[in-house]
Amino acid sequence: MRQIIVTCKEMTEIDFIPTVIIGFYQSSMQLSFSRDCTVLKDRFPDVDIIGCSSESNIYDSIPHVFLKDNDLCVFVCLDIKKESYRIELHTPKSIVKKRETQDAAYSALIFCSHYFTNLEEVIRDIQQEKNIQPIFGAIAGVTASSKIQKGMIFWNGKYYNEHMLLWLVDQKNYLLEGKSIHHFQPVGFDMEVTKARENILYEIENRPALEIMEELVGHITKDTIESFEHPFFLRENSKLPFSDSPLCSIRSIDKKKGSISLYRSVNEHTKLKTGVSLGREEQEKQLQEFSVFKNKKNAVAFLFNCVGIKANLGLMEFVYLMDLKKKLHLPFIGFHSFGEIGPVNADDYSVLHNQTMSIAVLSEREDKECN
Amino acid sequence: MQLNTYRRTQVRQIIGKGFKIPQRVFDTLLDEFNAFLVEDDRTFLYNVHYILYQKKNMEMTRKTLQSIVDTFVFLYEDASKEEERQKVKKQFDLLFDMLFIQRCFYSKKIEERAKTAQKILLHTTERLSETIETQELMIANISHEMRTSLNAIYGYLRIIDENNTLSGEEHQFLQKANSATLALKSLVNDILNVTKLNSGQLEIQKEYFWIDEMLMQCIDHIALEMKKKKKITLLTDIPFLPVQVYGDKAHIMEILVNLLSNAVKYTDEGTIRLEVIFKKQGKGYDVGFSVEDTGIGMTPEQIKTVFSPYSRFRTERQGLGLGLHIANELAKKLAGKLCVESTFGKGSRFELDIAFNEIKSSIVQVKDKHFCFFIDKLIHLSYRSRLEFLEKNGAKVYVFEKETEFINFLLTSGKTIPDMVFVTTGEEGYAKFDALIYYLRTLPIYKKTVFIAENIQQHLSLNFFDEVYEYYAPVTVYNKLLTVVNDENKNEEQNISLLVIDDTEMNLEIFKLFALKRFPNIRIDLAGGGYEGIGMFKIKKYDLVFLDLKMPGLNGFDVLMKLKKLDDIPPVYAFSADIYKSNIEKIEEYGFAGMIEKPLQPEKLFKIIEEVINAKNT
Repeated sequence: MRQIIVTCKEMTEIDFIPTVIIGFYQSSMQLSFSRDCTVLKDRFPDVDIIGCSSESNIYDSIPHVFLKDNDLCVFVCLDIKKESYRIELHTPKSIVKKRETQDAAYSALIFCSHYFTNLEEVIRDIQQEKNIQPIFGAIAGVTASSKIQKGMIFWNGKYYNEHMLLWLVDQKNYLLEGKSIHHFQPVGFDMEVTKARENILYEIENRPALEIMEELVGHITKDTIESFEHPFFLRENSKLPFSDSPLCSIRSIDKKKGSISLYRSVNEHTKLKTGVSLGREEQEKQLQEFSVFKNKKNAVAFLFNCVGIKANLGLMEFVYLMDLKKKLHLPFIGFHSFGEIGPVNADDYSVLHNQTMSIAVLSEREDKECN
Repeated sequence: MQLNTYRRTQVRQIIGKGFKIPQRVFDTLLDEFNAFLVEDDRTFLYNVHYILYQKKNMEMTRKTLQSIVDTFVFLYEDASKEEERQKVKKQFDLLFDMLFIQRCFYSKKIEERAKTAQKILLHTTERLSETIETQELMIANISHEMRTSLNAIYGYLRIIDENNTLSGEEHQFLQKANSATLALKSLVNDILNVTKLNSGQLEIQKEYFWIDEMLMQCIDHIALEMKKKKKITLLTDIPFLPVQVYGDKAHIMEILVNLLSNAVKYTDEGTIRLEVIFKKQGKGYDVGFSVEDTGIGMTPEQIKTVFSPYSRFRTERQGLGLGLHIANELAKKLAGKLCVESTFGKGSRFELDIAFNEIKSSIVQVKDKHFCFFIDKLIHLSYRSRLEFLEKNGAKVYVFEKETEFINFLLTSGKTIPDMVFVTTGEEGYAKFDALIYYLRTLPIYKKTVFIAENIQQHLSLNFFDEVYEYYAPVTVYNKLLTVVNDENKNEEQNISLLVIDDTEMNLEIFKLFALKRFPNIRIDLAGGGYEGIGMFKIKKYDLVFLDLKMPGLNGFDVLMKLKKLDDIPPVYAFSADIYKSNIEKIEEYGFAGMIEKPLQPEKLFKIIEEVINAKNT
């Protein structure tokens, strides 16, 4: 599998004919992205171009994280066998019904334009009932925000803002693997969600959720929400320790109702704990976990970093990405997302979570290479 | 601003002052720096930042800052045009912002996060304390209810047993019920003890006591268990300490009984050795107690966790595994030390060291009394030391080893009738002397003599000995035994009135049954609640009041307050299952004369009644 990662300025450096190109662009750069895709399509007429808007882009060269003033579109070009993958576009309502059981075993990358209320259910069904696993992916944007434009999915020259796109890759020929890490640890008492609907948390321990949280971490302001400081660990499976449960960030608060809106759905009777940031050494140890993918041949890594990580680390994020580059020793491309899909432990099912650094490594199977 | 050859040389010199960098690396660094100055390529900036962050070296950061400032000062001064100077300034600002300002922002953020973490920790600690307090309250309430019910079960079973109304299989059922009740009682006590220890509610109650007397009481506690294990023997070496020590007798006993009980539990065959060593230390004594068994022993891994709660590794045996944990925690509370040595398959040895800094020299009132001992089997040295002690205190001691000489002495002693006669012999010998005592009792001269069987290690039905001891009677109880016999008639003549106030009918009934069994001539009135009790008190004079603390309506404290407003109130004892330190302190504060625990401890009750009778006599 040949591969190359380029920015729009480096597109002339593509020295093979790719079958699939995946590109990421900051929402405000949609025109530029459309133009770049046209150029690529003109040059490679048979190529499938998948795209996804992002809060900001990441790739494996300095400055690693694109800042708003110099944000460019980034693309990974892959020479992957046409018959070994398929691309599907779904609406969240249709996906479970429409998807047919596949004969071949597939793994998948999923890009969602924004968070859907049944997304966790879809992720679970795809893995357990359709037997597509592992799956990795990310949520491009939110439905509406004063600062952030709507998330968009791009495929075959068109943009979609209420959709999710599945790129299914045949497991016979290609291996998709990865994991998610985060920099938090659960602290305090187990608390129980006593009233919730969809992604809104109304009551914890029979008291207004916001009141409980403010008692615990102090006053919650717009700044603390935007800096993603106080994520929750949500434990639905009592057999799992809290540290293996998905993290979830606060999206907004309603002071009148005393409720907290989250970046994922929450059920009543779910147990939760607040997370506090790990120390630097612990964070570095976590990063070390990615070194299992180091030096894989003919591989490329997709990196989905939560916008929360960017908010937490600020300009220091590039230090972690430089470190990641050393540990992975693989080309990587990705973006800042509003939810990541991946397993907490390599052997677990993937889940939707926030505040993670999720990596998916796509590589050509070595036995196929020998053939 | 281009780094020409001259500038490269100067910059190399500036940086070379602080760092030793290989030529090749230096060249790359300067190329990257040049690209940063000329093309705005930030590779240099990012690489330096990354290295500084990774090295985590303050000195290196300081030197880097120094080199950067010096380099930019040089470049600024060397620039020939204003435009170049502005460019140098701009790039310096950028570099400084990236390398230092951003790190300061990040550090500030970390500081804020630490504050949040502290806040969460504080909140968690507060909630934890609340939870513990709630649990303690809950356990205290549950224990109260459990102890009240246990009180009834234990009392009724004991009465049925003492009445000897059941026989055969039914009697066996009764014994099993008794045994299960005792196990439950022990479990409730263990849980309560752990809760008390964990919450700092353990009350240290010091008193003066005799060590040998305490040890005999400990042995009494395990006598029943010992009897079930026919293949084990208890060996004791208890030198007599002729002073009373000041310490928490009840808790020391609790530790020792636990050690002895464990030794019995984990030894199926062989010996259990109880030893004591005294060492004079300043004004007091350091006392080392040891309990050694030839039981199943422990592995080194088991020894490591032997004092942890719920560490009962030998699961086939009874119990929750709290006993040794409690014993160890109690030892710490008493400023003592509990140690263990053990060999798997061979046995264990536990040592308890306690320092008693205060002692009281007490004289045992045995002067001019006559003590007669018959000992026809081997005895250990500690026995001899007791005899010596008696002689030193002015007693006349007669020791016989031959049966005929002993009997002759008793039958022909004439004017020197012994005050106390002690017998240590074999099974047949005790039965023979029991018959002899029956005869002697018919003689008026032996009316006041106390006959004691000692070293009875099997169940014998002896009807005429006054007291029977598993091992031996401590010398400290001699006075008491003599007084009891002499005062027997006095008690019979005494009439006192008791008022018992408790809302639980069963408690009242059991209380009455126990008290009347020992003191048939006393009068007991029962009141089912606070108001009823006060009403009864107003119309009749009582010598002693027992008052339940937890009652609906008026609780025990309220009742006492109301009683205190009346004239001439007798001693009022609290009757409660709540044995927490806070409750005990409250009882003292309100002015109760004392407290009697539930389940009812008959011996303690008898002692209180006896004291009131004696006080009335004097």
